[in-house]
Amino acid sequence: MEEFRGCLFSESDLYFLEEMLWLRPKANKTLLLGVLPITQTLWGKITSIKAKKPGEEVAANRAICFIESRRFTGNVRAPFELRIERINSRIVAEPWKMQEGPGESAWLCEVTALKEGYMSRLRSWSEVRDDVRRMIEERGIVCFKHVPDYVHAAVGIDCSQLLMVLSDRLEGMPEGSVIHIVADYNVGAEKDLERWSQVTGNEVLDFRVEKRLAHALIRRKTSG
Amino acid sequence: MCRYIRFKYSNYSAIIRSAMSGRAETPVLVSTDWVEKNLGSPYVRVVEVDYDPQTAYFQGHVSGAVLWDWRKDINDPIERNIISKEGFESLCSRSGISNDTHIVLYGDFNNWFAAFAFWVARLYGHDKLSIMDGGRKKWMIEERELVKEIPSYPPSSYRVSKIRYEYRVLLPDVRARLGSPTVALVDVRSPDEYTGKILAPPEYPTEHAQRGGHIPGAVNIPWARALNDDGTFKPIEELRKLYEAAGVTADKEVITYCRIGERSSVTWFVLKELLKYPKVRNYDGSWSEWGNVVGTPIEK
Repeated sequence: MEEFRGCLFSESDLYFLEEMLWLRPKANKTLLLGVLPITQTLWGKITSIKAKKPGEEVAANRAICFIESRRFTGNVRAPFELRIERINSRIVAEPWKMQEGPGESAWLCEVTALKEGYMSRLRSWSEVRDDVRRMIEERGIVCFKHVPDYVHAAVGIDCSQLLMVLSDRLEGMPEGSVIHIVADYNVGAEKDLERWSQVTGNEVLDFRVEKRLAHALIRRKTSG
Repeated sequence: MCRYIRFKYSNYSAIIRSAMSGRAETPVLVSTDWVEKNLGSPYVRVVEVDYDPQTAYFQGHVSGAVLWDWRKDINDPIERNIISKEGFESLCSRSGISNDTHIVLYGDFNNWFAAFAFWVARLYGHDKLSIMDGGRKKWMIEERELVKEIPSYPPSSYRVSKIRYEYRVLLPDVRARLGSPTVALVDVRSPDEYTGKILAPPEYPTEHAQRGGHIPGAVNIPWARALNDDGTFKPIEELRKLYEAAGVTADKEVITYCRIGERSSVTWFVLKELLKYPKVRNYDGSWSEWGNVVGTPIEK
């Protein structure tokens, strides 16, 4: 696995960046297919997937599934003519799990290519690596192990104000939900956040500094 | 049976032909099929109304559709208000819309903002006006063609000839109607917003109010209860039962509200345009006004 800003990529997978897909060839000549973790930032948390059914044949550039997320509504299209063999029901039930990274169980469907030459539509990790890295840099993409429910940009306010804003935001969120806060980085921010977490009971899941911006992932405490 | 049912569930080409020739009222709801068949018609202008055009219109839209950006085009650029009469005239003129053009609206977020634009266009007197049932979502589920080309139409000279002030209600008029048995207030927000458990949906934290709760006497019928999973409106009799069961009946003066007036436009559309209730008004100031004004009464 290679990691850029928390986003994981498998060196042995194939890629179709036009639709934000990774594909993993299996021994039986089928391929597993899933969406890239960078969609965490680009689309927001995927909240529902309507996938086509096993046995359905899908022409190139036609929809494999319809996705709804916090910021995106649309189809994910087939990179080549294919037949859907299996749908991962776990991912249909919890579609955001697919955005956590290209793990063993993070695939959406298993497909068979119906025509020769389909490999020419796909690229290896070494072929897409620079493009992916550039996209992550240019679009300020960060990935987390937990896909956040909400994002709040709090750039330009000082630390004490930030903690007030954060408390207000958490108050309006369902218990157990996760928010990604982006703020200016200053020395001591992580320790301040830890102390705030101990006092309030809200959990800091991740903290990262990228290009002088602090990215914190916080889960609202549950009363249970 | 009402016009909506006939249009949605039967062969409606004759109705459309008669609508185009001015012999019948334009249907307020058209299907995705109808829109596809009428692409390129000189009588029809398809308009996509988006909250976030970057993730919607600019990623691909119905061929020939112009964009109305909800923030920039439907709202006043300075004060909190809907677009002015002159602003609406300018918007239609630069969209190549004349007074007898059939405007078909659709958009993102389950047609919330298309419904808002519909309400504004009706308020400014435009008669040939429809919403595409299911909006952008249904068009995409059905894998119909999307294009990225931005169309350009010769500007027209649109003129507003009447303003239907009775479609809108402002805060003092809502306050004056509190407690009236002939008025039904419909709060279309989520139950958590209605009860004051949360001040705004977590997705829209900047639109919160200082106080949570609802306008005294309002019933809570979330907007989404009028829609099917694919974003289309439920059958007319089902809609009628939904509102009547909560005491929202055609004999009352009905006021719909939400947080900023866009979700309540969907419910206004259902009650006024589909169920044909005679007196329905949208309170677009909604909770982001009522919940912030000093001294307004609140129930939780």
